Amino acid sequence: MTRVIKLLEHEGKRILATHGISIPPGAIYPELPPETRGPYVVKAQVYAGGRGKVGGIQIVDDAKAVAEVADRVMAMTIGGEAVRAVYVEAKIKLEHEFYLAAMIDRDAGRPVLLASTEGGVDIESVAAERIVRVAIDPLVGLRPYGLADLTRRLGLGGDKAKAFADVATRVLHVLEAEDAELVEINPLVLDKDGVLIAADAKVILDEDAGFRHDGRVQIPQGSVFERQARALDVIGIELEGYDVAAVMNGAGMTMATLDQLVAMGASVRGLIELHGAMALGPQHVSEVFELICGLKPKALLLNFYMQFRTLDTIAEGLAIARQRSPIVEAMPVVVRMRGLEEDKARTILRSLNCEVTNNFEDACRRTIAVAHAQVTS
Amino acid sequence: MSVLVDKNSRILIQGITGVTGRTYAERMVANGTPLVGGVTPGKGGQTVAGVPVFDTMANAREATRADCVLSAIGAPRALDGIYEAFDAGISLVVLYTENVPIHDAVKMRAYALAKGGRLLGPNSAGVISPGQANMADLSDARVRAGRIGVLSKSGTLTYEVLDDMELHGFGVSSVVCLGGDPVVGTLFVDVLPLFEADGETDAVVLLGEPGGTTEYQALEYVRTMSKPVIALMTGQSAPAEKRMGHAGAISGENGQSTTAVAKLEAFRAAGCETAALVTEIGSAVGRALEGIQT
Repeated sequence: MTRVIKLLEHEGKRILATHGISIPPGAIYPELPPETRGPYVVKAQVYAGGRGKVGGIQIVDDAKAVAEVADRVMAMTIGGEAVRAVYVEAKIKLEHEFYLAAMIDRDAGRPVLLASTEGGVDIESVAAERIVRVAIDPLVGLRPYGLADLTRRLGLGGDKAKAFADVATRVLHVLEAEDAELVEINPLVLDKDGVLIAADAKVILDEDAGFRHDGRVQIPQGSVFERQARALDVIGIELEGYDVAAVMNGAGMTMATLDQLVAMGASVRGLIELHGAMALGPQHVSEVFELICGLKPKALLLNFYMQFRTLDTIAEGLAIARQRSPIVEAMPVVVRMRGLEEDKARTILRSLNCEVTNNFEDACRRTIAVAHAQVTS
Repeated sequence: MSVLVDKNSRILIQGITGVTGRTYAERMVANGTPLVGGVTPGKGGQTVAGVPVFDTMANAREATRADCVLSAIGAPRALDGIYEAFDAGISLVVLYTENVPIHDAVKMRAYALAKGGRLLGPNSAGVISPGQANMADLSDARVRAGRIGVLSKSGTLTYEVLDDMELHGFGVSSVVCLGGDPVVGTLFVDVLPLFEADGETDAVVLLGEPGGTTEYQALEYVRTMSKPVIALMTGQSAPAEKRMGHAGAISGENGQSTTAVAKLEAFRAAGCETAALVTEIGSAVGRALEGIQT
């Protein structure tokens, strides 16, 4: 699982601007972009895509009209997400709309530039042969031959080719210098003066590179449960189900446990992947158990196969959580464990009245049975 | 025989004086893995678990003729460490460290390829050829020697798979963990030919996941193999992958679905034995081997 930080449009644009890419004059409402009189574009700031289709982008003539529209946009919910801010920009007189993005091609393990002369529309609706793709050797970087290939295949010549190559170079530089996974400009607008301007920006940063970017912080996203999980340095996944919740270690085990539970007829309420949090000790693990019990499943499965960390940490964590929280105390728990300190953990769990097994399939079956018994009683 | 590591490997631990490095060193020595030394800048001259510590990879390689490195250094230093190892002429590096920046993974992968070396990871649980060498986050006691190759992205899931195989009487020739990160140094398709050529491997278990298209690339090679490949794609019930955005959606060039369900179906359609659940993998291996005997 990768950890990424999505930026809002105005945050992404600020980064583009610091790397010398032109952006329209803009400001966060109630401020207006300085030295402008309209027309303006009023834009909802959300992480979800498709805001234009639901009225999240409005074009208005003057400052008075901005005031009328901005409050309405601010009150919107787009893709289940409350609008976080309203960004007001000067409207650009456009000549043409391009698409330009730099990203990591994960399978090829290389940065790529993607460009099209058909910008301003959903890029998925553009025919594949109309999207130009230039892969970059990370040891060599973007060289003149790559840029020439890009502009030639876009059918650009002269000053336009030169301007496009300059922006493409800068976009790739943003990807690398900012440790981004994606820098997407759609549309990249060519204005009446022949200047290329980023009219939108989608930037996704790599949280793992935070150590070399001061002040890079994740903006909380996801459900309350998922955000609380994150605060505990674990990965929480809230699902639509109602009877079983589970805690595991490792992404592979988490997926395998979900698969097994679903295949055996469980309706899964939520999952937590400990993501190395066992190293933080039983007290910390106890808070994780308390959090997942807060989802109010009918039964909880703890599924652990540990060869490096020890199982007694899990057992002690559960003991602490049971003592502290009535919700945890009342929760039927099935523990499946194999690995280091299994006997020590079993002794602790026995005093807690948990079902304990070392078999994966049995544990899933028992958890579901216990949950269903709760539902009918 | 086995792939990537065996009893003739000469192994170094990068970061051997750290907690993780030291734990690995002690375990390797106790279980007979051919560990010949370690590297920690500034700690040259010390010993850990009875093997010498060197200041640089070049020194360590010169003194020990090492060819393999298990790297357990912090994520911020990982890129530098991998450059140093391949620059010194190391041929195989396992990078155990997780949370390595994706741009660093891109660079280390490119450098390894340029040097003709092989990088497992970042975030790789390593490689083990039981009874010969263990450069993995897998306990020697839990890995039974046999004639099945295992190729996996995930470390924790691999235990589960090995257990279920053992229940059905199957052990492994080598287990190779590629790493769970989106960009890693070695792909399924790079390791399958090694198992195909290995005289002590009869079949290969391939453990895939949702995300990316490297399983499809592997499948193209599987079609040409003489040995059976058994596929398990975990994440059959995983919620739809959270998309990276529009550009992310078009990154799979051939429009292939990146779900575990679609990947498993592709292997099934190609005639491979498959398992939808980890508890079905042992019996799937059994069916595949019956297939070659009859």
